[in-house]
Amino acid sequence: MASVALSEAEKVYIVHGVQEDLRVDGRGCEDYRCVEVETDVVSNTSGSARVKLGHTDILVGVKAEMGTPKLERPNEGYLEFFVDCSANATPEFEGRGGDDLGTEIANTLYRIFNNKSSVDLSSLCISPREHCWVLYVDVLLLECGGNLFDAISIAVKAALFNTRIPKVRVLEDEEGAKDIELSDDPYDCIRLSVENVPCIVTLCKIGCRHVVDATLQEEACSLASLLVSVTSKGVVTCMRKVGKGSLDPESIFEMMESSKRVGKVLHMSLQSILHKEESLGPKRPKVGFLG
Amino acid sequence: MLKSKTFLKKTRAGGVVKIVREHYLRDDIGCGAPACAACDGAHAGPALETQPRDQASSLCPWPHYLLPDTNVLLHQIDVLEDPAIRNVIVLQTVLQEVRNRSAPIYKRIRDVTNNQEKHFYTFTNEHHKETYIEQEQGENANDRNDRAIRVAAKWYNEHLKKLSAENQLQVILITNDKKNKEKAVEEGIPAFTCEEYVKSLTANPELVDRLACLSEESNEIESGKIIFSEHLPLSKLQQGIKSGSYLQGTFRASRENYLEATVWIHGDKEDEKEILLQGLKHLNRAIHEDIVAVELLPKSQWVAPSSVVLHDEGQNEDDVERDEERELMLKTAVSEKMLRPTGRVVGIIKRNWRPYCGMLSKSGIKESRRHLFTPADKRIPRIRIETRQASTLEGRRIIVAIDGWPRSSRYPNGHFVKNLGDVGEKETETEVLLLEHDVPHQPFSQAVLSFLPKMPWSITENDMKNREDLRHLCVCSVDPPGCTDIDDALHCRELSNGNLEVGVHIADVSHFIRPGNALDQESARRGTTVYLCEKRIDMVPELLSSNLCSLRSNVDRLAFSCIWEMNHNAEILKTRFTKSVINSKASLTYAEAQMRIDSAAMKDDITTSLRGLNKLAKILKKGRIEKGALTLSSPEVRFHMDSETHDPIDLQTKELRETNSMVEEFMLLANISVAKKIHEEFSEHALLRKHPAPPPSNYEILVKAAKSKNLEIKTDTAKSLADSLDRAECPDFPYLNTLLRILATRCMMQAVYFCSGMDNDFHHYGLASPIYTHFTSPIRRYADIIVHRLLAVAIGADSTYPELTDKHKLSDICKNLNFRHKMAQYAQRASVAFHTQLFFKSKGIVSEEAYILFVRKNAIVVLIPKYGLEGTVFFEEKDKPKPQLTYDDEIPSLRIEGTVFHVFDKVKVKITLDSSNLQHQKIRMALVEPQIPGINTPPEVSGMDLNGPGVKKRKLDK
Repeated sequence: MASVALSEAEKVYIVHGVQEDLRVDGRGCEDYRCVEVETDVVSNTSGSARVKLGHTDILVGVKAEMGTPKLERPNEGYLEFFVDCSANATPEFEGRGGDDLGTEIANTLYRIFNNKSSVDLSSLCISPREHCWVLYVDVLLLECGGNLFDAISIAVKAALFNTRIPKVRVLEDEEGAKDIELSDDPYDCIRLSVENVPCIVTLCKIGCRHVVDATLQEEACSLASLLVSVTSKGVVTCMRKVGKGSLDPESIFEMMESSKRVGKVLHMSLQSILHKEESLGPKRPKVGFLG
Repeated sequence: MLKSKTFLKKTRAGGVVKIVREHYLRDDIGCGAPACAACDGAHAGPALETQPRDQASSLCPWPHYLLPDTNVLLHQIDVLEDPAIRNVIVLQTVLQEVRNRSAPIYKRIRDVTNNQEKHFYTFTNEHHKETYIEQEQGENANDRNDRAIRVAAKWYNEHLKKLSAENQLQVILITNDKKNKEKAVEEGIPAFTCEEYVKSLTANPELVDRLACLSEESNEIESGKIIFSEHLPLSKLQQGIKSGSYLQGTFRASRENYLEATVWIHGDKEDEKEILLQGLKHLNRAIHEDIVAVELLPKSQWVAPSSVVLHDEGQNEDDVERDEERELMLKTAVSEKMLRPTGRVVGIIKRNWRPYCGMLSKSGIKESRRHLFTPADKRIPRIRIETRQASTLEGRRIIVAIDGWPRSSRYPNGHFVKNLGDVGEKETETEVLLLEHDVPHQPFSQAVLSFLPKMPWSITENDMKNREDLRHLCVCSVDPPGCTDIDDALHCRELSNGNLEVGVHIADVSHFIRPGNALDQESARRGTTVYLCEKRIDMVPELLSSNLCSLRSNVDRLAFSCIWEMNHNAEILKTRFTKSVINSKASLTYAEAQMRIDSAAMKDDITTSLRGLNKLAKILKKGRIEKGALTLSSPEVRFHMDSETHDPIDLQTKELRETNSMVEEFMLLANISVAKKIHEEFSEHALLRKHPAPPPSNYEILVKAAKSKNLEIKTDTAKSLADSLDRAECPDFPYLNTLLRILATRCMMQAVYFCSGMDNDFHHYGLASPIYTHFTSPIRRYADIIVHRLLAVAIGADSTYPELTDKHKLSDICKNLNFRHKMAQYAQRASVAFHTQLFFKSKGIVSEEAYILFVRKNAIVVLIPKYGLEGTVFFEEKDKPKPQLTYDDEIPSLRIEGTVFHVFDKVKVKITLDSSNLQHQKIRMALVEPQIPGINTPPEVSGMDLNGPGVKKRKLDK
């Protein structure tokens, strides 16, 4: 993963600061950096979002394509994740350098969506066993500035919120032959409910405290961190520890508690900003990549 | 200003893709009105007129422009093409919709807009800042386009108002959509339906006739009776075809029976088959050439193709019962094995309507405006049209387009398009048959002519590159008399080693027609020169066909030569191809050449050369026949034309001389040699010609017919067929052999062009050659031009170009050529038929000997050897008691009141021109001998015997 080299003195400065609930950029331990979200940034996707969290810059595109349902789940569509670590983000990603990180992130995304409650997959089914929508969620890392997972999960949620899947009808004749008819009104589409889509809150253990939304420098000071995916209702859907160091059970509980707390607030502000953006309608001026 | 357009599209595989296109809006698009200061200079030239006042419409007397919507353009193109309609604004939205829905109409509208006189202006409203609109929520694509049209109309009206206050120019929206019209009027746009507007043009009442009648509802009320079952929607048809419950195919109506048709099922495999349709209801409003979906009926309802000849002669709607009665007549008891898969049309996948030539059958009711139109092509049903000029159109050839066929109507509805002229007039009839056979016959356009070489033309240094000078050779050409497009010439000389050198020199047309230019495209489109009785429709402009490419005597001409070294047994020792320059020493006719060969006194170079050629040709022919080449026969007729009136004054069957076959033999040899060469060089994209062996079932008729005369015809191979035909002689019936050969010709398949990379069967059945192509007539066949180009590349005399080595392009060319050749043949036959009619018109009633070619259920088809004329003798006539007819399919024979007719029986028939039916003037034949009471009329021997007057005799000798 992208990292920075810090001297011992710098590390001590950061660790001591965290101890005092005072981080290098002035935040408290449970404060996020300013998050910028814009949806509908890539016109040829079904839904897209771009999220900037400090220096971390993520672009997510969702493409809806027709496919066949998986055998074990004939009445559901499914999501596919792919993470591309652009060499723009850091030179280390050049060539195949970003593949490992990409796979890791994709696997994490699979895990946090691998439950019934996060997305209503049955709404993606067109005709059982034959046709369903497959949502290809493509994540592009444009810049790494720490706390990748959180930024990505926010971007994925925003992109799913923005996703519009064309409405199709299955016509069936007497013999049972099926044909798919596409509505010719582009506004006639289905939208996913993102109510229960979780966000990841990463908690970095620094010294004996933990912080959310660690910067690159802070990540360099941490030996272990905990990824907790929390829904807007504060339900933890998945948890994963990353990093070399170990965590004692007590601090894990502590971290979970704070993740729920932080997660709820995060979801709330994200929802409200997404609704607000949408209420501006299709004519809103877009910021895009030049803003 | 940039906008992006987003739309969803269903892919072939069934997926859905989102497509985003950039779309730029501009503010500098002109409105097309010449006086408009605001758009000054924004468009190249004024397209609309400043003061459009010639349209004296009673609805809107003030000057106005028209703005039609998509459906008006699609359905009323005939009205818009009329010179009376001018100053029309065609919106881009409309144009694009038209383009998506009908390519031919799109082309027509493009032609109209290009015509300066018409003052049509195309307004790119989709790119105009103020007229571009986006699709709104809850609006489908059609609604959006309608709105775009209204927005543009509104913009125009406001824009023109600014122009100047005093001349109140208006833009009138023409739409047939009721809702759209209402909305437009609400928005303050003057709008009329096409009908309203056209009817208001009091100065041009004839325009009303050209209106397509689409008011289906009104028809429904009129005769509420539904005759036909509903067509299924396309989506259902596609599902049905996918699941195999319906079959897709091309609908082919029968020429002989209007209640019967077949559908050729499309299939790329061997399973190409034919489905029989019988009865009006099962035909279900399909028209010849339509792509239809059919449903197979259960086996219990299968029928056999009837051998009854039936023509639709009903006049009014109530004929449906009679049709049903007639349908019953078709369903006579037949043996089990005669049953064919039978089906019914469930829906139309694609209509292939075109304007049809024909005549009006005036309605019996006076003052009636509805009349039936009878197309010249018998496979097309009669069409009901509405016209007020019925009396002027009567007796004239007209063109009518079909608009639709409601379920309650016995006939399709259509509208009048064009008046071609009086029936029976030679020009009119020629025009009709050219149109009917889709023969492109307009004069060559300026663009095409611009690629012709500049006159005076001479051979330059540059032309001599890669070219051999063969001017010293004693080359001569042999052609039919009066031939001006000479594309082949020959020479033969003895070499110092005792062998013979034989050269075939073909006009080098590909030197003048360079690939890809307008001239090339036009010739490729025409495909072939069409020879009618008194007219030739050239494939290439006359300068080339009759001058620069024609290998006339005593002038230097460019040629493509194929030169063999042969021994005296006509065995080829060496073959050489080269581009050359020749100077023909003589252009001979077949008769002249024959005379030179025969007269012992002549010993000049040309004659020696001809004798050598003739000798070799005989050996070649013998060898070819031994290999199993077929000698077939078809009655060919030549007319002797009066030099002034161009009326046929006599006809004569073609005479074959030795020299005919001499030229033919060397042409075949050249074609085969070239075919081998180009296939060797370009195994994947050589243009070749094949003649598939006919399926054994084709021969049934021939074998049965021969059997009835106790002769055996073997058809297992071409060789055995040729041999058994040779053996089939009857001492007391010498003409029998010719008749058998004529029948055998009918059994053959069509020879076709193909691209070697797309097929693996190259065999030419008729010529018994493993490979064959066309090389020898580039002036009149486009295939030869391609072959010339391929050969030129093969010998390094010319450069190649990408399309030449693209087998798919080549295969497309072949498809067009095959179609054009077939059509040219049909047109030729039609022309002969018409001239035969003219001939018999002047002759009066003639009785002649004839032979029976086919026996049908209620008729016999006879051939009159003297004229090479074929005709049908019907035994059932209207208003006469029906004679007792017994038809035996096995022999086949027909028994009428005790007299039995077999194939090849000699009869005597009376030939008259039947002008009672102006729709189709036809040669009518009636039986004279043998005499059957109640059937034949006594032979009226008129004084006009054919060989009588000496005047004609003299012409013949000339």
